[in-house]
Amino acid sequence: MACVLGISAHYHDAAAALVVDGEVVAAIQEERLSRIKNDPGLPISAALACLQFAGIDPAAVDALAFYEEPFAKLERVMVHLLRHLPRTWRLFPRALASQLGSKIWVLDHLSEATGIPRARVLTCEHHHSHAASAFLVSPFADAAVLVVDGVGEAHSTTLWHGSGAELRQLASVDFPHSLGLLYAGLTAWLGFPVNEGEYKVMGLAAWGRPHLRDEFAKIVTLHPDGAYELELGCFAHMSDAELGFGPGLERVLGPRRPPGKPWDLDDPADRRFADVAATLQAVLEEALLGLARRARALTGSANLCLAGGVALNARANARLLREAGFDRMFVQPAAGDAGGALGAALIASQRLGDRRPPALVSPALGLPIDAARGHAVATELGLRVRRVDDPAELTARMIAEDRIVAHARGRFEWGPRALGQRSLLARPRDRNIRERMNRLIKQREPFRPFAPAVLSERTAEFFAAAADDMSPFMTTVAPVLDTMRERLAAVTHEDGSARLQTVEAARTPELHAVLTALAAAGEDPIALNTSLNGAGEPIVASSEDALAFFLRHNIDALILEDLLIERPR
Amino acid sequence: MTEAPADRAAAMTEAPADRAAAMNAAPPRPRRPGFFRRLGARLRTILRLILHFLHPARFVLAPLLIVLLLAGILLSLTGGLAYVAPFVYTLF
Repeated sequence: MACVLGISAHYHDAAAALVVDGEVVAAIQEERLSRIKNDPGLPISAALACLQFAGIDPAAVDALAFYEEPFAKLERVMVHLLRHLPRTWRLFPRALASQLGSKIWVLDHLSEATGIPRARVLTCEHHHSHAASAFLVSPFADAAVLVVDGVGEAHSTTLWHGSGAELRQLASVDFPHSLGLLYAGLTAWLGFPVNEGEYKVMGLAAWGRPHLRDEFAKIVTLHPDGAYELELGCFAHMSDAELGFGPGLERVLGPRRPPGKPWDLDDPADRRFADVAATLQAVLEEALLGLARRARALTGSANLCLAGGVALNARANARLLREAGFDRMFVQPAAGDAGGALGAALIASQRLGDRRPPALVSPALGLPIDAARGHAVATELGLRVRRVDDPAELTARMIAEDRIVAHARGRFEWGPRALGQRSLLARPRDRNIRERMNRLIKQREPFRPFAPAVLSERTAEFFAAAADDMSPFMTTVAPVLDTMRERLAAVTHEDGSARLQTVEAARTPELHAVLTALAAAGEDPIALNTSLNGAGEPIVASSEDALAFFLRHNIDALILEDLLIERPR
Repeated sequence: MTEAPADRAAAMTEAPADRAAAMNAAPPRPRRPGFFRRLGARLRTILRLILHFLHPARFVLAPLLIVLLLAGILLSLTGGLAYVAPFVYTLF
């Protein structure tokens, strides 16, 4: 019986997760509270909020588990700085300042800021944390676990066998070879910000043709046993903290795309950039297929868990499930570095003798909406606010009238996807709604798709797939039925796929009620579901955040628990 | 380890509406430990770091580690990079 706080921090997506008596009680990304997108700082607000939510005093915490080994990381940084001299001499002072200014003292800082005694602060290995974050909350008793990210202490890819509550590492690929850094380098070359623009590259890939295989053969070599090697001359992640790709990449693919330039996919130059994204996606999928087949051969398991930042590539996940030979596959919603906090907490919980947690059912692990506070602030601001008896029925009615509704109910989600608790909902029929959503709120590139949320039991009426272990968390894609593409025009991507969320009452009751009400009104039980945030902002957390969003963006209505705040029509 | 009833975690996952306000209020920050406690913690961390690098396979990194530690102490004493950065850039 233990109370364990897990922490990930210092690179991107800092987070805290609380596990009590072997059960996941709360998990929060720091960005939701600090309001800094991808906040990498120490997640003290998130950690204290998790404890406050559970009503636990920091002195009662049995262990604080950090998601990686700071000294092992320092060792890898030092070895690579030395190995790549003189190229690294410019990086040396920054690496030194970063390591010595904060990273090697991280355990002391966490202890002092949370009030948890230093003797109770422990560390877990980075990829072990990732593997635990996927396997220990999966529905599988036995599974192959594949962790693929930029880099941990030294590994960038690891294969594990999970059985019961045990995880055993079977194979690894080490830095500087890394699929995560391959994707990051190409993201930078395409003019997107690294650690933020990877979703955009995935969206762009659907617009291109993967015909640049010869060029990519000079960038990355895939071996038959699942291993891979980067051509290091094309990359600079060993010696440059800013760019991520080297002159070799521009020799192979041509000059980079200028960051911030508007996209025009009728322009042949931008078409070629889309072809690069498409080929990158295809190569990544083949690399992951090789790794997954190796994992299948090594473990003999019929189930696969995937973790690490690369596991957020929903297109690749769908292909893995189709082609890698596994019966079932699971990716938890915060598969990136934030998930490391959850994994570290679960590892420490096991070490303290707790049972393995039940499978993750709901992604709603954050803080609830404070409707009373929302009512007070909205009234103070002179907004039209009224209490409603059936917010789900009202939301459905507004969606059916082609209105855009901000929907903030229940505890906020764990991970980068809005899964119904902090979502913008709209009718998925009309392609114009996508333009309106982009123009008024999201200001996204024109090639990026919006996602549908569908009643789980009616998935097969609209998509050529059924609900699976990933679809409730929006970590996979499915083809839209040919006959439904016009009806789902606003959520069907260029390649005919959709990054769907299947909605069940047990997992997401608020959104399930909305979709059920839509169906009862004679509409399709589907809503366009995108995150409740503006461009460059973290997703809304509190009632004040939701009201601030409502004031800044020209949406039609805001549902805040049982409150309706409407803009005059 | 803390003792708790078996259903404690399950009870916490449900957040009644009247608790939402308390849960959303900014939690109080613990008091920062005193200077000597913080100094003690830093010294223990340095000791652990030295022990980590005492492994024979890591001896080659010892000179670099000494330079790093000296620079780290300098950073700690001056309170940040602002004062040290010009020195660091000159050194490397």
